[in-house]
Amino acid sequence: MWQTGSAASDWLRSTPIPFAQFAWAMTRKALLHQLVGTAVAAAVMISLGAPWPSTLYVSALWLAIVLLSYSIFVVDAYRSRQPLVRLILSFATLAIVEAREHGWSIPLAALFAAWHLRAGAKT
Amino acid sequence: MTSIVLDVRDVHARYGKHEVLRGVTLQVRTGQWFCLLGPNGVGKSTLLHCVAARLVPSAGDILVCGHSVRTHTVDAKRKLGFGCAPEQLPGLLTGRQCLEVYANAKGLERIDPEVLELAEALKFSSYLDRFVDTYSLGTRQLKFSSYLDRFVDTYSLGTRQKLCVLLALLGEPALVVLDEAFNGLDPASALVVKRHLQERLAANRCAVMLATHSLDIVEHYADKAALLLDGRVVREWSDSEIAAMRQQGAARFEEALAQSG
Repeated sequence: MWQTGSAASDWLRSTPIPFAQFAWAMTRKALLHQLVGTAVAAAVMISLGAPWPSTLYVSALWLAIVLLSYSIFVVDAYRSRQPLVRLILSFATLAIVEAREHGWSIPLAALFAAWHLRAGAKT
Repeated sequence: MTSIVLDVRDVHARYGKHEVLRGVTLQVRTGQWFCLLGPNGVGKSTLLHCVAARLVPSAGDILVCGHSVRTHTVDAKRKLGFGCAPEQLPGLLTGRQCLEVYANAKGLERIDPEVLELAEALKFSSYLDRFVDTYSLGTRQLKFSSYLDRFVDTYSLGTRQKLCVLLALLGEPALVVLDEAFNGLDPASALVVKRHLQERLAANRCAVMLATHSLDIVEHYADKAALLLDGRVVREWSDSEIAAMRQQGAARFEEALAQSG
């Protein structure tokens, strides 16, 4: 995602492409694949006897992580920045929050993703 | 009366601590073919990247059709057509997909028919296609994809360069910025591109800014030229000066350049 985004951003830098259009074009298919993959994985877990709440929790957590990663990758690709520090800081914060309050990392990841995307839109 | 399309005002640019441009000032008007000359590494590409809003100047400003690339970047980019480097093209897209994505990024609903006509003139369809078109085999017509429908990864340097030129011309840009755009082009294709640009210039539809080492292009096509040395414009040639050198014969420009350098 980061490599493709950087190459696309470099190629399209002299065009007036807005961030939202760039981000949607970059992440649309990948997000769809993740959604389908998560749904299939959840179905498999349930068919193997996993309880519903745990399955939902794992699926939501995975999608939140994907959303946060993609938002960081796409914003930093658009801005020609390295994403590593933001990734480490974001996931360290999520890990700390999750260790203290079970389940809170999911809305926090969504919040972080929205915050990153908003910053990208202002570019 | 032609308007100023590009106004470069005391532009400085740096990569880290290294200052590449040290106060470049120049203007280009509608209908002008402007050539930027200079040895390797003096900042020609850097200047083009600043003009195309790919690099933010560390000081000074650049106005494209009156829009500052620093403060009104999107408005400036709408007026620009930048011929990217061939290696920047996405290899896993076809030529047509590249044109579609680029047109979309420029806010166009479809690829300009004029650009597709130029693609045709540049023989983006191979000789084999023409053969098959001419001698179609009854109802089972063989179809070979044209260059435009092949992956960019399979293109030669010249074909990639053609695609870069086509991308730069999408969306009726007021300023066409090309960096060594004729490198790798065969003479026939180069002539087609030059004539196409001349037609646009004659109709006052745009201005062309070309960084080049080809003095032949300067002598035969340029309306204005500038020599860049150590990040500064050290010499400019007007239309009349270029015309005078053209009449004085071959190598005259080369001598003038050697004296300036």
